[in-house]
Amino acid sequence: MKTHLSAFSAALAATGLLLTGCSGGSSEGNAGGGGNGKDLEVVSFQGGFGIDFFKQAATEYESKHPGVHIKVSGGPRVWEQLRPRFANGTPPGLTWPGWGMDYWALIYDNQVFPLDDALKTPPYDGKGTWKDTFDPSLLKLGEYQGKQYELPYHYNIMGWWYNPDTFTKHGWTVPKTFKDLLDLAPKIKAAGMAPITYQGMYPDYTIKGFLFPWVISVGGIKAADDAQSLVPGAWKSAAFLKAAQMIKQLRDSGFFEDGADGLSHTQSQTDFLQGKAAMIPCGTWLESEMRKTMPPGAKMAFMLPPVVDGGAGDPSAIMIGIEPWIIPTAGPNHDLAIDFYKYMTSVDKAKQFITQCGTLTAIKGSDQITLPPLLVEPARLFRESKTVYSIQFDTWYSTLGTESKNAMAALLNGSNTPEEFVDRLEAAAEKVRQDKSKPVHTMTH
Amino acid sequence: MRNRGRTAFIVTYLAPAALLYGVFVIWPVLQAIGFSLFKWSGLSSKKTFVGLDNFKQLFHDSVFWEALLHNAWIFVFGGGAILIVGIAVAHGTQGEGRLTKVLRSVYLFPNIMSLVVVAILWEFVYDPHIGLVTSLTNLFGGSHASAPGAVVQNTSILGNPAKALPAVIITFVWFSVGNLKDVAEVAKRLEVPNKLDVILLGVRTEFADLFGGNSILGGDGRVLFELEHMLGVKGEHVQLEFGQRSDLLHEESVGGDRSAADIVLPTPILQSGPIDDPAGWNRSCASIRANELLKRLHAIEHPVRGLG
Repeated sequence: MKTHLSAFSAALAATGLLLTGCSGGSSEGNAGGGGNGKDLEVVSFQGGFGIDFFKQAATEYESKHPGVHIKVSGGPRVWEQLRPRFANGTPPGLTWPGWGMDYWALIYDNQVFPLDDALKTPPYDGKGTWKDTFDPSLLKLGEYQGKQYELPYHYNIMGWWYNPDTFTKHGWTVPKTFKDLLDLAPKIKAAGMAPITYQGMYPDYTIKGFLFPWVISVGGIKAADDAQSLVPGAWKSAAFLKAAQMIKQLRDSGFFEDGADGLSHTQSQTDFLQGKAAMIPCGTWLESEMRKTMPPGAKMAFMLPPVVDGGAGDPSAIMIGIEPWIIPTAGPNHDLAIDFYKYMTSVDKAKQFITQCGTLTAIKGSDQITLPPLLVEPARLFRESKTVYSIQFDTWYSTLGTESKNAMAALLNGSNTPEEFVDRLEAAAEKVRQDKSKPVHTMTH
Repeated sequence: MRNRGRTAFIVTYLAPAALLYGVFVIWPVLQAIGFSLFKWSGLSSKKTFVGLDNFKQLFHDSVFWEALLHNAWIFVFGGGAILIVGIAVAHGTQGEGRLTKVLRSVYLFPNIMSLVVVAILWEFVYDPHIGLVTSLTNLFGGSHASAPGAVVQNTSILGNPAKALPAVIITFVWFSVGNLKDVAEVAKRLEVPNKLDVILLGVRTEFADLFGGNSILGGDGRVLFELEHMLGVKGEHVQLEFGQRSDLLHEESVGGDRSAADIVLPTPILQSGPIDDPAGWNRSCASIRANELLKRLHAIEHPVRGLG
């Protein structure tokens, strides 16, 4: 999820792990400048999954297609090198620019090549159309005004995590409904743990882990779609107010870990793994993010956020986020870029990616393998869900994104009431509506 | 006659630095001012001239004014504290005793640390669970442990809009004091007749650091000193600090209501183009240290004075 990564990486930068020195210009000209059909430059964000997988795929592709040369490079802040290249009209042939790139701004400026025609052609292994190999609910997240610009590769599922051993030991049941949660929380407190902790420094987590799941649970998916589509009044609808009141109720009852509003993602996740808190909102990247610092014997399991009793929403609703790849319009050799990406998205390669990198991919059937244990449950919930949704408003409308984070933090630290909170959100949405220069996006189900 | 030779001498020596300064500082600033008149994503060649529209938007944005107010807070309280503490420390650590020497290094130390390290260090100081501050408050009876069912207290410092900015100012002062102390020390070591002059100069430079390094526009004999200061050493230093301070503030203030500790940074206009992390290259290229500054000031000042 872009957001996960933005929060994740921002915090990583804060801990200094992403500092890479002033190496700067690794972009040594434009491989294949004239578009000879044989050279491809692939530039990838280099995060937790690395770029070895893509390098290996390139080598394999080269051996299958003699004469083709693919250069794969990457970096943890690769967008910094890509931006001037886009501005100068010399972008690479295929890229995953990472969370620091404003994909939509690229799309508005016609810097991204639409892939609708390519998606009608056969996939790498030749059966049906390429489009049919993608999960449609993930593919549609890369659309703008009816055209396909971004293609998903791997995706994340957002939810809550708990420690199954702790729950078994105390005889607790995983709360399915908000009422269950309110009943269980005092017992957890009595056992000397905080019921819930959260990544207070990065309110994206609580927007995605508390607010939207409960908005949808109360008002149905339409309540969230309307808000993301900036329908007047949607951000201060009854569903948003109720969701905000639920968050306040948990806060006022002391069910959040003390001081969580000042915790970074790693601090709060460490607290969770050390058993200081029983539950935490986070995506399926949690294990790979915490692997190095995980206390021995720490366990985690995925759960959906508890739903509102008698809410209008689908209790199976599940939030996901994609990591998109794009083919720059000005990049050389579009056909080769498309064909190489087809190779990467073939079922076999996608399965290999899941095994090697421990995350799910957008390719249908790629999860028909022995999944990493922690992905089994989220993958099942995803498959069985009737409502798959994604939060995109913050990448479409950055001012609304920023204000939503500020308002969320204020709600959680008690400086805003639920009423003030929704008023703030609606006011920010209204500001975006007034700005006629902003391209409009809509979200439907 | 003698004066003309002196001018030629000075110009000759300053020219290379002035050239670099022009190319890498003045030109990007002018370029950035140019860019500010356009609506531009920075991602394509598509630019639309909008005149002063961006500034109009900026001045209508309440967050901008809040942030500017935070600048003022840092200027008044941070700057004031640096001034007072810095001079006090410089005064208090004179002498050649062993302990004094150690203390001198101790006070200088924060200033030679990478800002990222400083930020991490203070993140721990302010940590709501294991932090020094929380532990101390708990020790003196301010325990935040809430009984089951009680309304939870807000225990985090960086997550609290009222506490975040003072917390950042304290960090900033802690980091910067060594710098001012240095200048005071330079004054002492140089045995300048009027020490106060140099101290004040240092103070001015320190504030110039905060607000854009415009002390180059002095009007007397000190100009040269300052010019050298900026071009030879301080020029880089000023930039480094801007970059680093933006890091510090960014990294320390992301929690809570995020705009609570936002400040307006002069750094972005020193960069050309819409680079979102102007600090990046500064941060990683950081090599000019305060002690280096001290050494080089020492070396620069003497020949210049020798000319008089």
